[in-house]
Amino acid sequence: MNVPIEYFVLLSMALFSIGLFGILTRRNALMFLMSVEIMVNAANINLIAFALYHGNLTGQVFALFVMALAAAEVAIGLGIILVLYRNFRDVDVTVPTTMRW
Amino acid sequence: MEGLFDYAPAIALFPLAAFVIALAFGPKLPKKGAIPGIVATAGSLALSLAMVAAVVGGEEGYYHTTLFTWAAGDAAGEVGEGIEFTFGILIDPLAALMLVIVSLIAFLVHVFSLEYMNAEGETGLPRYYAGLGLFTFSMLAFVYADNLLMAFMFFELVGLCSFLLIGFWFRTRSAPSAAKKAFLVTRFGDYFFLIGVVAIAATFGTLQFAGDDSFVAAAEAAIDDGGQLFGFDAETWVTITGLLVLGGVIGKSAQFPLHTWLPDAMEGPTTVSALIHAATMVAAGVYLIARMFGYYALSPTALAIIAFVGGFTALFAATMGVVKDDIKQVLAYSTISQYGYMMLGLGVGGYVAGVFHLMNHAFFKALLFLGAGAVIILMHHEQDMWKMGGLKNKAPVTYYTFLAGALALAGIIPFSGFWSKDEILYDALIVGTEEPLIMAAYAMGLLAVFFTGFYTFRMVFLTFHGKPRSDVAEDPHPVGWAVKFPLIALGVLAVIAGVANLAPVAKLTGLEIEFLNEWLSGGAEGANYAAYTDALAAVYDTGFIGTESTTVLIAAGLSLLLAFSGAGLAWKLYNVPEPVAHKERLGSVRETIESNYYQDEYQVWLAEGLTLPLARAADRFDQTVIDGTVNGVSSVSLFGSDRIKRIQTGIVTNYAALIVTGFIALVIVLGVLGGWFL
Amino acid sequence: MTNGPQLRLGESLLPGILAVALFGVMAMIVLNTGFADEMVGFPEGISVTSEIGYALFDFTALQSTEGSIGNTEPFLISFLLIAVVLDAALDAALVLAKRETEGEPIAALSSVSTGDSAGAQPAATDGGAENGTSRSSGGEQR
Repeated sequence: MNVPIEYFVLLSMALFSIGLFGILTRRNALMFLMSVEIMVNAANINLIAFALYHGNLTGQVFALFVMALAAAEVAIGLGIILVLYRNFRDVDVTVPTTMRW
Repeated sequence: MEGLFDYAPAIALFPLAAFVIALAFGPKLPKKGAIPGIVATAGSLALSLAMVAAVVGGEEGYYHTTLFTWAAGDAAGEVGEGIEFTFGILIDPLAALMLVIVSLIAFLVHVFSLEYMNAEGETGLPRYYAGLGLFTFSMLAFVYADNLLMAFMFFELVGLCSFLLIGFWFRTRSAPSAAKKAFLVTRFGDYFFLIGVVAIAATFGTLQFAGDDSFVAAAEAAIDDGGQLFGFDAETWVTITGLLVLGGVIGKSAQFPLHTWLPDAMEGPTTVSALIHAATMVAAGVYLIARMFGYYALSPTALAIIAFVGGFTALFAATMGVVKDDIKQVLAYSTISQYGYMMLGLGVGGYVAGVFHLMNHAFFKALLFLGAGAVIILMHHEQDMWKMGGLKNKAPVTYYTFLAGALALAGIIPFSGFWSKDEILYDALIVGTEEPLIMAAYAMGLLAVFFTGFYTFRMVFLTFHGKPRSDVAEDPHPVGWAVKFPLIALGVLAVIAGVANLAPVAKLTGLEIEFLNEWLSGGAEGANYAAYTDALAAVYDTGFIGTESTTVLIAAGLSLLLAFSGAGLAWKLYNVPEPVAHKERLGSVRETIESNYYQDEYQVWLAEGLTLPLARAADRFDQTVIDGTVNGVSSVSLFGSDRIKRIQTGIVTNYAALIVTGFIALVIVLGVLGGWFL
Repeated sequence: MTNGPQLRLGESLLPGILAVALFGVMAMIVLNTGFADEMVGFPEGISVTSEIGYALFDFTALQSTEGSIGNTEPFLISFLLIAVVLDAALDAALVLAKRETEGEPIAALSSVSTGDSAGAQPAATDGGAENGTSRSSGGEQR
């Protein structure tokens, strides 16, 4: 069951690109949040894969931390989406465009 | 005796203390600040005399110390290494002599002021005494400065004080204008001086006057090396920097063409005029040349220019003095003329002669100004000589002291002025036999002797002789001891000061009586008369008419003859009971001279007709081209950013797309460069 | 109004090409990178989970020393920091979720405002009543 490292990396990149694809094509803020989660987890796969590759546990522990941070991020993100909805009656990210020049 | 030198800083600090006291407590003091001033200048005088004693008694014969280093850098000059900016004291025979002169005149002027200012119930007396104190302080500090930068700073302070004092009666119309003129004209010269100071510092990396690390020694070494300084021959560069410094001298010592401020400066109190003309402001310029004479001795061109400017100014100013009606104006022009003589003397290498005349002139010109001040008191502040007359019998002390000063000024044997002026002319003559340019300067100086004799005695006769020509002259205001004491002190000095250096007598008889000569030969190595004599041997050839004795006699005889004929003409024309003006006989020349050769006019024209349009053009250039460029750049930037900011749509997807695009581009570039796509 | 997930096709998918391109570029790089064939892996006979726990709480005495396991850094401080951050994030989320009525925050965990103000309606997270009386202040109304 010795899978070469390249495949882990490719998997993580594929996940990352899927998340990115979601961000680039979707307009719903909730979908954005999910896409970001996918990208975070793509990074996690990399961390864990390379921990195994080097026989070192640091990457594994970091993956745990990243999960915790992702949870925090989701909490904030949901809060932002709530406020967004309250202000604009919509969760379409293309609607609020006032934070530019 | 060496220990006395430790008190040297106090010489200048006493008047500074008097300045502070007069400024802070003046209105509450009994004489409004006069007492602290008199005490301080008396203290300075005592200490200066002690310095002379210390210089005589000391082993080295001079004193040099650095008091304070306020900036030191590693910036290398063209020749020297790191530059240090310091405050220091250099007391050699020259400085000690000048300290005595300055503190003595300042002391006597303070005493005289008791009657001239206090007794007249002037307002603003604390301001007056504070100004005098600061003036004396700056001049004394200038005199014992050991480096050019310190000298420059106090030179400027002297200029500021003259501004304050000339404009003392600032409520009149003319005084503030005269003060401004004095300030601006001297500042114009000082501007060159400043550039000269910077140039010397940048070239030689030192600003010391004396010692092994002086800029004089550095310049001498540079000339001996025959190297290039800033792309010039070493000697040319020394000439250029020397002439830049000379700009400050010409402004301060009122030489042509920057002399125009001095006659106007008569708007100040007469005591201030005495101080300015005899000891402080005007003397500062000539003193500076004497101070750095070793530097000028390296440059024949600079010396010749000094000599020629001096000779020309001597004649030029003397002719203008002939037609003035105001007693102070006559004295003002005589001051310019006499400083021209000193420049002539220094320029022909007569270092001792120039310093000698500086000293004698300080005494007799202070005497004449204080005498004129006494006359003005007598005449209830009337200055027109045509309204005076007949004061001889009513104010004998004033008359006889004034007469002594006049005889000295005119150069009549055996008064002090004769000896120094004759020495200057003799030095000019022996150089002039070999150098045509110097001969011309000598001729002008000689001719000026005639005019000097004429205007001096015209002044004396009009003021004191004949019959009183106005009511006040009939019944003059009495003068007190505060007027008489300074007059008598200075009168005695004006008569006997010539003994200091009876050069012609020494040359004719072989007696060793050239005391000033010996005095100035001592002092710091390389910065004394002996060293200058060596340096000058390479600059000027000297020749005699026949033998040395005949030359001495010819020079003395010629100047005496001219002085007597000038005085005699004045006697003939004006020593009558009812003198009349003879100016009309001069015809069209009169108007030119009375307008001071249109010097003010052309300088005003230079300012208004040339500088102002030039400044306007520069302003227009600044407003249109330079501001236009700046505004253009900013409007291009404004317009560009207004377009480019539209990238910021505020839609998060677009930002993400931009970031990703950038990242892909970056990865591709790095990949291609780093060979990641093998 | 975006009320539910909608699959949008067509031109809106165009930016997605960027994501695909990124994947392509990165995949090419990965495939061209020479990784060592063998993974080091973890030693036999130890519990990875236990070792993570020891590392998280700085139990270095209990940590296995086999292989590179012993090189794992202690993480107690990071753990505490992450705990605090997570807590702060939850609080922040609650603050954001609170509804404001005329500048007065309504208690985060109650669904009814304390006062008798116009906002005396259930603080529903769906934006509350549509009648506008309880519409939140601030923000740009569209």
